[in-house]
Amino acid sequence: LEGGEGIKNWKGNIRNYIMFNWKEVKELKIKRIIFPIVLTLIVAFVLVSCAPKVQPTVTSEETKAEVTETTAETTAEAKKEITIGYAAPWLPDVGQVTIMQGLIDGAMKLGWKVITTDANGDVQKQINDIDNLITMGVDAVVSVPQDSAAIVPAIEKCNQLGIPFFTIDRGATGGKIVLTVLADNYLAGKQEGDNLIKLLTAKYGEPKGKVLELQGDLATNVAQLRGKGFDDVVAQNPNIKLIQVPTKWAPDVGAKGVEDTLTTDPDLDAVYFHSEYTGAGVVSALDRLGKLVPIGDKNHIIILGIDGSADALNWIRNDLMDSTSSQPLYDFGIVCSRYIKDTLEGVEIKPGTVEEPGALWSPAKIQEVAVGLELQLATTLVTKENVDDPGLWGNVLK
Amino acid sequence: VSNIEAKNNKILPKIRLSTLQNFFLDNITWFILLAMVVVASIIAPKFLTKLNLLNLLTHVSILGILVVAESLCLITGNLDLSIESTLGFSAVIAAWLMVGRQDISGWNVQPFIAIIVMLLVGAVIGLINGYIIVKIGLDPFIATLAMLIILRGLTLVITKGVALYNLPSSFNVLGSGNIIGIQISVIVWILIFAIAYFVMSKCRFGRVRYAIGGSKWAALASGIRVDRVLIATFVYSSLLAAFAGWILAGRLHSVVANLGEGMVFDAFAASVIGGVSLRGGRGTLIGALSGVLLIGLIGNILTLAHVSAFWIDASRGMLIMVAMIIDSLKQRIRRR
Repeated sequence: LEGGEGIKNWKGNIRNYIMFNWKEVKELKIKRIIFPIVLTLIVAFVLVSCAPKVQPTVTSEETKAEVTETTAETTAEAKKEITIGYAAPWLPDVGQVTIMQGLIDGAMKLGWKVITTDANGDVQKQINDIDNLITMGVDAVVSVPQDSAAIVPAIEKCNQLGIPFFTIDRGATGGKIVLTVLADNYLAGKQEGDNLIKLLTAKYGEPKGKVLELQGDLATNVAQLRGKGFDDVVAQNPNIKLIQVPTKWAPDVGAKGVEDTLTTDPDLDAVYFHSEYTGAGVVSALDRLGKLVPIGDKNHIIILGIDGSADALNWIRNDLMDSTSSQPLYDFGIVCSRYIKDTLEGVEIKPGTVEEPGALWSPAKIQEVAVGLELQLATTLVTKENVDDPGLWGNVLK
Repeated sequence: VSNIEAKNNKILPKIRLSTLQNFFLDNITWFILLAMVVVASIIAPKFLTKLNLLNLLTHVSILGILVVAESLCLITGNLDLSIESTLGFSAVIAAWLMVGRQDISGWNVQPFIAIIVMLLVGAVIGLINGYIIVKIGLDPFIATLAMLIILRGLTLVITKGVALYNLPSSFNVLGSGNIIGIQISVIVWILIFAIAYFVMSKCRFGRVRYAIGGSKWAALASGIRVDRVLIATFVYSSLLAAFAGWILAGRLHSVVANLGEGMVFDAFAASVIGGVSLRGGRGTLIGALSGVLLIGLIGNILTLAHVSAFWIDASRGMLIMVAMIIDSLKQRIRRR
């Protein structure tokens, strides 16, 4: 009993000790109010000042040297630092991260500062973000619009204030855009179509067979062009039976599409999807059905995709997928920052063809569209031969 | 027994707070806000510019209206998760009536009729919510969650995922017009807020709702027609949400399928940070206002402080959590 009492007291002592501290705090009454506020201040300071700022991925020593060099140059000659605002739509998407990184790297090479925001898929937030960027006095705004129509008020605001507005990957329905940088999606579809004909000819001696096309969201320009480029090639070959299933980019709809088609047409020769985002569902569905056999096996179903994500490059390396059209996602920002530089220096951008020997995105073409100019970068057909090319965005960010 | 009580009293002595301390505790969110403003103006020199402050108000005005709607529900001891999709759905209805989708010609309805219809749609949604919860007796969380999903789905049915744009400018003026440099949406928000504050704190309208939130049975016993008041509360809240939808569509000059997605979480966070209790009966709209400003301020400072886009959400969540912890510390001190 004595012992039990002792333990109790011991516990009580601890409690008293804790409470004693509380009392001490209580005695200095004002502390109770000051403490939380000071805590908030500290946390806010720590969070805001220590949270990582925008940084370039230094891919090689060379770029690093270049960055410091140009920074030194600019600080030496120019007093005013140029700041670019970048409003991303939805960063959980690795493609968007790549696009953003391309712009950051491109701008940093020129010695500029980049401020980034993420709209988290919310059009309203993207408009607010651009407002904030304007407040910070950015010299140009670059954005991948979350929605081509809903971005318009932000573009118009920039137009009024004379801030040049650039978009990447998607255009807008109104306002005045200096330049939209995107991929030539018709070319991407055509490249896959041509490759299909080549593969079918290799299989049967002539282009024939059954092909499933899993379409993206047909309300978007991107899906229409990726479809048209492919369909135009296929249409020249009457022996190819084309089955089209709209998926609205959803992987589960893609999976269902391929399952249903294999039920009605078990002799399917090829699958083409408008995006590897959808394709992920397709590949797993084929795997489930035991139809995911490597190239060379006579039961192999030809798999063709678009985007060029790291996943797809791995499928190609593992002989599961035949080809993909890699979008120049990383180059979007690099190329875009050059044109931002031109615009800020007052050099006019003219429609025409842009060529850069050695670059994967070359030849590109600049066209006039309703809201401004549009630069279409070439896509790259990726097969087993060139899958390890370091210029492919799927190999840039891992 | 008395010994233990004495001991407890020793450990947890009753403390009496002075008027000044009570004032501090009641308005602690405002002091946090003040502290944040100080932080913001130190780390981001652009923060204290007129342009930025006006932007900040514009950005929170729509959320501010939703918070008024949510607070009304919370004070009566209910909650309404469907306000964000009511906002989206009613806006889509209006846009559909006025411009239609790209593939159909549209109805070309006059903007003012479209606005009346969208507000009516809002009111009807509130009526359905209220009826299901009050008369059929579903849990408000489940009922409004189902409504949230239903309306999101219907929005998708109408838009087919495509944005509806080219809205008439007379429709847009509420969301994007301005008077002497101040956005009309801000003025409307302040007006709505002022009216709601007045009726909730000075009129029978508010007293009845606080009574129901405090104890439904006591309110019933004292002769309040609880069912009617609750249904009316849901109607008001959905009506305000539809109104917010009008402003948001006007601000974007277009309506997208996921309009307002995720706003309900901010609306909850703002109400609760501002001291509106999730159990009902407690909290004021002034408190909720401080919550709205805090949420808006956090988003604003993080961008102005050049925080990388990847970190903004995490930082925002943490700052909200810190604000909530401070609020709960307050409650603990008060209880002692």
